[in-house]
Amino acid sequence: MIRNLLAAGLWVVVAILVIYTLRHYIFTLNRVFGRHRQPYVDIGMGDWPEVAIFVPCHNEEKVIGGMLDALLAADYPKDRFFIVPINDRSTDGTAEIIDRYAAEYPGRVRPYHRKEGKPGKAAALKEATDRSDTGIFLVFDADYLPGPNLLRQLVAPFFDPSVGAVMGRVVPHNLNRTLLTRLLDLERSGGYQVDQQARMNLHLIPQYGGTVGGVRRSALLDAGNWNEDSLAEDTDITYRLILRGWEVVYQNRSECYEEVPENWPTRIRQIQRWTRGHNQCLRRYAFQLLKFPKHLRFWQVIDGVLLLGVFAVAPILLLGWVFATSLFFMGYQFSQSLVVLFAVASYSTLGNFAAFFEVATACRLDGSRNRIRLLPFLSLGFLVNLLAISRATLSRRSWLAVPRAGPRWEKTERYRNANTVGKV
Amino acid sequence: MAFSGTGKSLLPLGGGIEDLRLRGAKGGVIRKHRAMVGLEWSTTRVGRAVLLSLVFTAGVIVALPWLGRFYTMLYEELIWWIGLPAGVGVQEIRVGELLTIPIPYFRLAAPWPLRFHWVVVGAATAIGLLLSFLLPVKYLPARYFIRFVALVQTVSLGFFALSSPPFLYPLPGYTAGMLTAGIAVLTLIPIVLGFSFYIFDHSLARQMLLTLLLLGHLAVLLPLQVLIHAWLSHYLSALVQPTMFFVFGLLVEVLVFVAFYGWAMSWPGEEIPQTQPARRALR
Repeated sequence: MIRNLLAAGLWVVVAILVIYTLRHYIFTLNRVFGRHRQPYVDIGMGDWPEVAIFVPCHNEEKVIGGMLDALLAADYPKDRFFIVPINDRSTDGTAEIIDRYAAEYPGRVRPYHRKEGKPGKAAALKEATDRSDTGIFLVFDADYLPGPNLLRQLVAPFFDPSVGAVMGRVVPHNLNRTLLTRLLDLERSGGYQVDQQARMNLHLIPQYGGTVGGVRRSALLDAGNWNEDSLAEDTDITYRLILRGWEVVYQNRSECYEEVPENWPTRIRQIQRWTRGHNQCLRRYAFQLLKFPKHLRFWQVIDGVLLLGVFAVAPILLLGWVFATSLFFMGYQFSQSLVVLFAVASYSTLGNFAAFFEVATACRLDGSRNRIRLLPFLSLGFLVNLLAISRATLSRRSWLAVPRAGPRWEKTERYRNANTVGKV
Repeated sequence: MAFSGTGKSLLPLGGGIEDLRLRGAKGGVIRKHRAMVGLEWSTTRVGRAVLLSLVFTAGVIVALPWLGRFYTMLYEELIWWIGLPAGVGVQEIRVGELLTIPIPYFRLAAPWPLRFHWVVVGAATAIGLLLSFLLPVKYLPARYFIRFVALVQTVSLGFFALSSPPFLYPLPGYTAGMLTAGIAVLTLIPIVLGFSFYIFDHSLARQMLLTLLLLGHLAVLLPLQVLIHAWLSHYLSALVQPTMFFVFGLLVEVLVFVAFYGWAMSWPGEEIPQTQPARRALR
């Protein structure tokens, strides 16, 4: 009886893996051979709207100067955009740096120093949104380095009135620091060059990632504004916009350069934060999606749910290992079919091959092929992810509607030397 | 269309409207941004992928009986060479009426653990676990891997402590099963490559080279891997057999496949240009 239950459980795990494997394959093949949907990429001229650029910061003295310099150099009408560094209770030199920029660029840099209210990125964005009547907000993380053309590229989709949010591509700039940064560079390539673009091509749900993108104010308010209690305000707003009938678009051409974690503990904290936030969204929005709202297509709903469940796959894989090990020791019939089953379960545990296929394809399309030779080392990253994500998923914080301790800043360590960038 | 490393065209443009869009001021070809690079889904490409998959799969299937006989001879030589007190038996797998594949196995016992085995395997597990805590944090994946191996081994120790002989998987059947699974993987490789490698813009020679390198490497690795499993299981008892199966079984083949695949995907192709990634040292 128990053996049969375990075997059935193992088959369910394998079925889930096969679904995600197929999804990876379809996305990769679509990205390589499918028709690219980049409808706004040709917009070079227009009556550019006024834009507020939010840069939430909490102890960002190492990077905020470089970020502001990059934004101030943007090729966008100077009188049509202003930067709002949202300093949320920084205890380092962030406030002073921001104020120096504000003094040098009056009207263009309009700092907002938060000293009270809920802490955290979502709360900071909500307060800044409430204080601004600009029609379009762009949001960047403080460690990002946008190129001069990025603002126009990110604003262009908003000429389409159905677009509620836009997301650009994230590219690590500190990739040559450690093995981890190189592995993260591979992961980012797969995630954006293939995964996001394929979802865009296939009219599914590209994800607004919250670090290099923008939101239309009216759409944001229609969807209920930023959710202060969310641990992943980006995924949260993506799904609320979609459920309210707004389009979320991905611009593969709009690249922005970020600093990825250079050591494993920082990476683990980062991915655990993403996991908890993503699982919160799974809890909040999966059932709403599964009601199949009329304005959403069937595959949009299915992929939307799969995307929400992506961080739940790691503990499911671990469970599969527990089932397989238990069956082995219980002397479950070692038949040919089980050999195949074990084969599938084995390679899925260290990242199924479809994920390697996706990453290798992305790097090849990027034209920087030499780094693909690091592909087998990705299994090390997958192993760490597997355990880190599983731990985060199994924590209670992952499933609470509102975190018991309330929202807070979960900082990713910065590595850049503050003297390297930042002119003011 | 083909491109050189500097972006100049190797082939002249055709002259149509579409080509004019890509014509530079000095007659060169303007490269597509990497965000827009893709490949064309053509009948030739698909046909070549299907044909290569079929030809190589058929080749592997036809070679399997010879491979089985080769493995049998190899085992007979190797057990003599390393002094393993084993015989080599052969079981046959019949695929329809046409194909009979001889699968060699070791006539050898993996003993039920004795005091010596408990001490050696238990100490190795404990040392591995301790080592995982001593490794610097930059080797975190290695730490996790060692702990994972130690966990599987600990479960195995617990199982043998609580159960009585005989072990569920006698070594002869285990070695035959491992070899059979490996041969199944070998047969599937050209099909997996068909989906994931032959569809790209590599030359036919490079596509064939990867296939032969992979098949050759795995065909040699597989019997040696099974021999090591048998050797360890015989001298360290059945205590280590579960760890061999779960951690150092087919996962090794998959990682070898990924390593070769990653290398081959870095080879130059005929359509997608190579560019240097933007690198900025901001330190």
